[in-house]
Amino acid sequence: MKNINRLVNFVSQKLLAILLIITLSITVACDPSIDALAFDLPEANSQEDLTPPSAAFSVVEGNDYLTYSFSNQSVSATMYLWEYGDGNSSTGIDGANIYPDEGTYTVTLTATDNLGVSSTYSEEVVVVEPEIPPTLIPVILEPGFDNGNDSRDPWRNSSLGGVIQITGSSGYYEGSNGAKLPDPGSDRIGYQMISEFTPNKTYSLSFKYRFKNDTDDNGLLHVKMLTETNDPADIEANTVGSITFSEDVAGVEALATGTLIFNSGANSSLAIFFYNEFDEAYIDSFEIEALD
Amino acid sequence: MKFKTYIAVILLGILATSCNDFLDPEPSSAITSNNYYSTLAELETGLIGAYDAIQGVGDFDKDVNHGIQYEFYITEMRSGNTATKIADPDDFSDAGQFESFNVLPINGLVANYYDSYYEVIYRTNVVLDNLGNVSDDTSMIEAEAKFIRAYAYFNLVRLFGDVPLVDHVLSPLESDAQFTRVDTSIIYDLIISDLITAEENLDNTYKTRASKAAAQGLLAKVYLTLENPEYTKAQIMCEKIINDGSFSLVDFYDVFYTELNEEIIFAIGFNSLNDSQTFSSQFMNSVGPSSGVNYATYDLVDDINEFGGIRAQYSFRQDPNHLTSVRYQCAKYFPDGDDGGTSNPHVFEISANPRLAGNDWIVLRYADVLLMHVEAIMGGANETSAGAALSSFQQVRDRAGLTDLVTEISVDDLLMERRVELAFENHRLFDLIRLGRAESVLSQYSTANNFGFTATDLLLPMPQNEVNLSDGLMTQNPGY
Repeated sequence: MKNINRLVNFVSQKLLAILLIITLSITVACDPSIDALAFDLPEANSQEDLTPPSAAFSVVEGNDYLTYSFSNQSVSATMYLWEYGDGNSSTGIDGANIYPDEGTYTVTLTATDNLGVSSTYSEEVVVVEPEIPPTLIPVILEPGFDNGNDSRDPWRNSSLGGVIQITGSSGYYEGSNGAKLPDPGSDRIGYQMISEFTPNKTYSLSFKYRFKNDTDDNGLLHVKMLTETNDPADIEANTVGSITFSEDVAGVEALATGTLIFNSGANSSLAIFFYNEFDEAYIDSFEIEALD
Repeated sequence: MKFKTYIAVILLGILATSCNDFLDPEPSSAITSNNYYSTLAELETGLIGAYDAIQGVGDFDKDVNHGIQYEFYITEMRSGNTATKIADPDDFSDAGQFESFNVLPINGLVANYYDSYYEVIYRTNVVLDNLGNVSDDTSMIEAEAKFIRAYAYFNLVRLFGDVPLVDHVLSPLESDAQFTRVDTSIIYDLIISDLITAEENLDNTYKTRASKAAAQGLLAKVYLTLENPEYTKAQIMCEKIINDGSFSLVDFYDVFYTELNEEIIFAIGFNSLNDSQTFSSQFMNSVGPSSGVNYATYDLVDDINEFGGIRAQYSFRQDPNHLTSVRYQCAKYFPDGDDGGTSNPHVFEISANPRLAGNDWIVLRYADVLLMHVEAIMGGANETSAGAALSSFQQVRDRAGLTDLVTEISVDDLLMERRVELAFENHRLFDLIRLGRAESVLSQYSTANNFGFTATDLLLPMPQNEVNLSDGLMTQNPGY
């Protein structure tokens, strides 16, 4: 019993001491008198800017090459200063400027928040009048069949027909040789994929041709532009442009000039394809040019 | 005594062994996602579920997904084409925020669309993840699921910019994939690869489900929308549809009121009453729970009157019941074709219930493809006079009664033609952005009407709910 009393005494003394300390420290810390704050500067307890602004924008080209608009992508800012690099400036959210001339301009956006913290971002704008890209002219290999039998190689497509012959018969070619499509039955064709075309442009394919009166029938010569195929059944569907010459109209006396005008459509490469029907025909000197 | 011990041991043994199966039961009378998708037919029901998610629920409950039925709020009403009936830029209701370009991150309609389209993606991923469970040829199912997934992502990426990339069913632990925004170019890679799979494997059997032509048309639009557009590929896709010969322009009124007509390439199907939509009633005066949304702006009406030809009379009408000001409402989606007459309130004689209308929502139609064909040929230039482009453009104008011969088409001509042809069909905003005119056109419109357009309004805010749930992973778009 005595021991217990001693324990109680001991604990209550300790408790009282702790309580006293707590009470004192609370009173001191919470002292509301002006004296306690006397040496605090006005901003001493303010928080730093936890969300400082960050400037950013993206450049949008306008309807003509001198007009630009700038889309503001800044975060945590309220005021903006745009400097367009040509002396012009503005303070709206999004920027817009019409440049006086071609040149490289540095656009700077300064984004500021209401605490006066600011951030800048710059980007170079190259103002240049867009060139209209020239229409591409594809390359035709062995266009004049002037390398003997070797000049047949670029024109082969064994899936569509036998290869052309090369002629040296006077009056049936230009240069040193020409292509010969002998009498029907041998089913010979010329086929060559050529590139690069600019899509949706009008081209003119010109060439020389001549019929020979070998049979009684009226000879036909077909020249087509095709999208790539190795299947005779697809030829009609793949035809982009086509022209047919006939013996009775063209005559048989001399080389005539043929022209096939076609639009490249959605293609960057196309095949020249030619073949004859009913009588012997000759073709030579392919040339291609752009009409627009 | 010994005997009892034996019995006890045997019983224990039986219990111990039989416990294996007992604790891991395979329910034989219930369907679970683990055992369901085992036949082509079952996978197909999964696909139908994905279409169902696009449709959304045909009521006005805020807590369920409304899918495409709410799309007009976040596209057409944000494009200068339409507004609430009583234009009120101070209206802080969800619907009123769009027309004045003051959309808040807490906007419920934005969140609803976001949820809806990720639900669509989830349902397609369920189908795609289960393809391996079926031994039959699943290429058609795969193609269809990928088409739907690409369609959903294409809308999300155009509306929100960088979005989370979810290409399989996520497990509960994959919260990173759920909230990490992925660069749009990576999303577009998935969209294109999905659409190419769809284009190669589908046929043109359906109009309210994925088809080859739908994949081609969507692919064309994706190619045109890319940061570096693939104009030639877009042109090839358009020409595949044009040369196919299955599609043609029909009488302008019939486009909207003869469902599945020859012009329709892809539509989200609805049926009156049982599988219905609510937007038709919302576009009218106090027929849905609103007093009227998606009303034509004067800006749109002026353009349709000047450039629309005969399309004017079929695109909008003056609201007969609103007498305090002149307001125009959409005429392309009257509930089941019933305009409710001029009585106040409307009396519907054809429509069994205008709030449960069956009008399909047209996603892709032939006129859109013809105009995309023009855009592809123009190829980023300011104008074109290529024959193929003129021919496609002329077809659209001829149908509208504008038969004067067009010899040159500028970007602005094309934009105007698309505006008056496709008004109310949720194209305008995307057209302006794609053709590089969004900033100039919308800021001009905004200034004239005292609205708050800035360039960051071209993207919607990420739903605040998602940002909050992401635990700091999901960033907000600038300007919000």
